[in-house]
Amino acid sequence: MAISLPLISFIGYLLLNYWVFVVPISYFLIIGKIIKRDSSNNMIWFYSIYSTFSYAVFAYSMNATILFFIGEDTFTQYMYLINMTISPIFSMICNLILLRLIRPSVYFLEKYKENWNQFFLLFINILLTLCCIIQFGNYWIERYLIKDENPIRKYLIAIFILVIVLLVIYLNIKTRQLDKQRIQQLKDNQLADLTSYVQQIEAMYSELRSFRHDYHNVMISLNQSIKTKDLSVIEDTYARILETEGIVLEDDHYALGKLNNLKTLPIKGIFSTHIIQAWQKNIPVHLEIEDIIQDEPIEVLDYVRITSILLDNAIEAAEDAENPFVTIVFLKNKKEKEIQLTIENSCSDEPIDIVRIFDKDFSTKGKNRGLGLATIQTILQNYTNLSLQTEYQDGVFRQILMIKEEIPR
Amino acid sequence: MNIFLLEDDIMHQQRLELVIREILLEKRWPAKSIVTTARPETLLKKVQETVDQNIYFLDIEINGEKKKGLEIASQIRTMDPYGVIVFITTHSEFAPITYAYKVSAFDFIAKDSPIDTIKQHLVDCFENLLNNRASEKKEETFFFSNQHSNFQVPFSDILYFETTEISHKLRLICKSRLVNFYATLGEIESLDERFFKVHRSFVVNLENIAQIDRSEGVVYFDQNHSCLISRRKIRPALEKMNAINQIFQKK
Repeated sequence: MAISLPLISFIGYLLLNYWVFVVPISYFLIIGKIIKRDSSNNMIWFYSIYSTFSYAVFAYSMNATILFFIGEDTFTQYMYLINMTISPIFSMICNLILLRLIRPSVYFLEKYKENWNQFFLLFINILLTLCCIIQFGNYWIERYLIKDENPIRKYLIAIFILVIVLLVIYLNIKTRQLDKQRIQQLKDNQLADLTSYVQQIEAMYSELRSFRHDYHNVMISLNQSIKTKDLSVIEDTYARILETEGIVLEDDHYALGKLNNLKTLPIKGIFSTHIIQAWQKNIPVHLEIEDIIQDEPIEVLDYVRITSILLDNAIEAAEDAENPFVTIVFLKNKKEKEIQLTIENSCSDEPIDIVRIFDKDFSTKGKNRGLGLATIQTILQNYTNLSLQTEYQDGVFRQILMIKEEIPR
Repeated sequence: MNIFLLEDDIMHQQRLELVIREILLEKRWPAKSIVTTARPETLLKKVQETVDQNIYFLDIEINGEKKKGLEIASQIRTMDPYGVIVFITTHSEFAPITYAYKVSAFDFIAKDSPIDTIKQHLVDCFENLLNNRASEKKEETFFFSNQHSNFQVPFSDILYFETTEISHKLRLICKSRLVNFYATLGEIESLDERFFKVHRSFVVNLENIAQIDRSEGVVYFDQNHSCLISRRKIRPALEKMNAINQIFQKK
């Protein structure tokens, strides 16, 4: 594909002459659409326009410099040679350096594409496209309108280089700002999650305290009935105690105490919030965390995103089920050095095509809802040690996330 | 059938043993021995002596040690991979999925549930043990393990493996499940003779192929699942399928 570009450009040059820049741009747009199917249109536009424009500007500035040194006559003589060698090479080197500067920003924008406003990229794109049109349109104006050298041409190239440099700086600042915003938001969420967890635990504790208070009274009344030596009275008292006090301690809500084994705080927060949320929707949650879970080899922010999506999906699907339930199991396989998170839920009778649920626009809930699992897929791509197993059987949907301790290489 | 009961509370121990004996009598199931003890060491010693259709009822917290039962269970598993392990415990210790994964525990029975419920659970456990024996043929499981991931699925469930947009990330497509993991197709193909690379991005399980469409170049597994096959692989695939079918008929 890369080889076809010069060929296409050459044909384009013959056909379009000064408007040849349209060719590489459309070429990049098409290639971008094919290769980076997940990217937004804005992103692809940015790639295409940026590549074409920055290449052209640097190549042209090199040409201008050479022209300045060797004079017009010699330049015209060697124009094709220069256009083929020095200018492209210079342009490529400049672009490689620039690329190094903007790569972190672009990588960030790609990774968190749903977290930022597309507007600012649109602004950059329009600006670049305008510059591009001016730059290339210049030749056309010179040739057909002014029929002489354009007086502002010399300054234009300096302005364009300035534009590119400013753009790079702006992009860096903007992404840094976005990143800060994102982290702040995550921190806020985390704090909110943990606060609700603490509240729940406090409620449990005060329940326990009141039980402890009653406990003494209970013992006294039991003692009294034993003293009567009447078995039926004793039985009666015992049954009454079980009825009034015993049940409280078997309440499902004490399951939250099991989160104690989950030592990664942000994840603890995510789980407690979701479990409480499920309870509020009258979905029973069965929780098993028998092993101490800590130091999972995965970046916390990615971890938070994956688990929240899985839990959100599970709760949402269980809501529609005839017999709703959600099961969460965290376990550690010491021998295999692996942590397994199983999240399963009942769902409505509609059959699910598990091959398709990871597609970007697919969702059982209608349009624009299918981002969750596709996002998980994107995150998983960055890790070699994560595997995800998805099962659907007899109305139970199950996701198993396997986190393997990376073997140092 | 050998029955093992580990419980440190004498009251519970006696009560359970009584229920078990009752069931055996009612159903006329013969038991070679019933070992009831509060000491893990005694139990393990007895298990060493006899591994023959054993069923174990274990408490989890023994003499104040919170996870002793699980520890004992995994030691039992090294000696007796097929015995039925049942945990009899308090409700707050319930973790059936975890223990099923770790020591293939069959059931959890709550100590504090009514005696009829306990009895019903026990009957189920015994029936599982006895039926298990009758149909010893276990379903073949495909274990995958490399430095990045490990998982297991029933072999007969496997349809095909495919590559994803990310190099070395593979996706296994089964009848009712999907596994995303890190490996190469070549690695997969060499794991079993029934795996065959039919296309540069697909390895299929030859056993589950329903039909190969020569003109379209598509392999069909069932109504919902299909993958591509390159033309020059059609003939070797058919030959391999025949060879495998013959092996299985001989068996």
